[in-house]
Amino acid sequence: MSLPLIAVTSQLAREPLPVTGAQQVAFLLVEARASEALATAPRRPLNLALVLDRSGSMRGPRLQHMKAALTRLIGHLTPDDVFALVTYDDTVSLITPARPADDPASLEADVELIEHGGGTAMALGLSLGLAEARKYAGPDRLSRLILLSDGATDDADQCLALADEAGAAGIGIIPIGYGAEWDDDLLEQIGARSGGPPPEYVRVPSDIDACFLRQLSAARAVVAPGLALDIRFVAGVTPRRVTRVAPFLRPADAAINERTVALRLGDLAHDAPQALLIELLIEPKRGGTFRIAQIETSSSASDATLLQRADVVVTFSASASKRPQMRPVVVHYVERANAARIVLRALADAGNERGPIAPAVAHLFDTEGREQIDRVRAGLPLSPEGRKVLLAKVRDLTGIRRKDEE
Amino acid sequence: MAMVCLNGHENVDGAFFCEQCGAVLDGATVPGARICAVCGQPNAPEVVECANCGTAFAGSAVAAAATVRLVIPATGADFDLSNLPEAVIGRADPTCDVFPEIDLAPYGGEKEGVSRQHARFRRERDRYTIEDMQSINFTFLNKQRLEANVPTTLKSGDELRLGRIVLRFEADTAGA
Repeated sequence: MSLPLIAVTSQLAREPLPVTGAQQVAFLLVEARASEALATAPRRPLNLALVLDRSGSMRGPRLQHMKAALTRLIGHLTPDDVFALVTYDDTVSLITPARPADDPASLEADVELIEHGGGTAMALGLSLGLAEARKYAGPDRLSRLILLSDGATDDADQCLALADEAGAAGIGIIPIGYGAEWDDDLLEQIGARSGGPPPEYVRVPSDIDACFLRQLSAARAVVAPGLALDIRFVAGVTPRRVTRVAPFLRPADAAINERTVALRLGDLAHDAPQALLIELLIEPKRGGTFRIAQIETSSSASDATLLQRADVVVTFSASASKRPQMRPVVVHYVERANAARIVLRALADAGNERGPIAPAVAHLFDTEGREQIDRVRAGLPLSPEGRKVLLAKVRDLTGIRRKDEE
Repeated sequence: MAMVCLNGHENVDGAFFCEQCGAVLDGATVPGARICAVCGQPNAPEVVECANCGTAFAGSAVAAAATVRLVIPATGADFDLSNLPEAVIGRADPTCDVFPEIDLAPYGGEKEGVSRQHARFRRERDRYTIEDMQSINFTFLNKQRLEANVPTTLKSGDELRLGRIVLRFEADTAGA
């Protein structure tokens, strides 16, 4: 047998767990990491579709910087990559139908055709972009759809249905929020439902260039697309909450029921682990060592070697003298996942009665994040920009930076 | 036996942080994870290289568990900051009910011009900062006077002067 291509490991925040005679909560961290063999395997070329907002608000520097960034992005494609470009306002234009990127000059000429227009009908753009992406989707290429939005849209339900379709077709949508007027809840859901990342917030137009290149390099780093985890628990052990903690923080996007957690993790990069934290309720147990769960990993790549099973085994001890061993890495994630949930809940409840936020939560953020949390604590409204800043910092509380990022 | 946080919220047995407000509950005071300065990956304190990107950590594991501190070179006294996300540096004055986390009163703080609440140290996600709290005799970082209320990033070896008391900041960060 060869070594597993994806290493799946799990650990509890402390062990052994005490025998208390009562129900207790325990925290299980599950990590998936690419093996070295997988990390050095040849990468799939990309099937990249861009769906870009050209509404009236894009006029000026936003559009100029976006076009310049596109030209740079095209310069980084290889002839095996596929490129498609769609723009939308209240109508949609197919600027570049999906085709291999073997003639960069003509792709760059296409970019020059982009002009600002009127309203915003995101679903139209998304629908056409998805149709283009489907033309070359398949196991030979890694499919990604970059969706850039700079404002609200009134066809959110259609967009979400399209995100589900994209997810089913293995086309992860990468949402990019440009400026401060985009719909953070919608872009978050589009990312999550398509198996893509959370929205990236581009605050100033000149940052769009770095954002495009970062997305390109993240796509190139993928070694196992469409990674999924299925975790089954034994009787008396119930998953209560699931939070993705790496490569970004995203609470509860798993299908949880009494005995199982099923989670689409998305694409596994060679240089960034996927990790999730599961909060478990454990019914009273006697002392001893038990298997409490089985983890199964799979990838949408047809490669059967990516399929793996691992057991989670836990020791319970009734001896008061045996102090549990603490695992600081798990506690680190427990603290941040809890803080994220409290901050997100406070944001969702804005204007309503809300509980206190302990200073320990604010301390996990930098100065800019703390300023926004102080406003929330004081019952003050956040500006659209302040809200997006805080949401971005929550997503990044446990963020792993990839090597080729700054 | 429910666990109750300092704000009075009840939590299930086994919790480390209050679900309602995020306050630290008993049992969560574990040595902090080593956060890799290159990739942000948390690591167990005893490891010598980052589990994600392989960056080697400086210093031995034992030294690394508690190596953020302020030293008074003149006396050799040191203050461990490893478990403090935030600390006020000043001098205790019971009559005014002021008790800073780092108390320079025993080191001649009053005579040397240290304010009761002189400066604030903070640990942020991947950096440490110092901020002058409108002290009368100012805070100096490497001989430069700090503007009041503006946090400034600290790096290991920096010299701080509060009034006339000189302190050295020492941090053994991952990958340094």
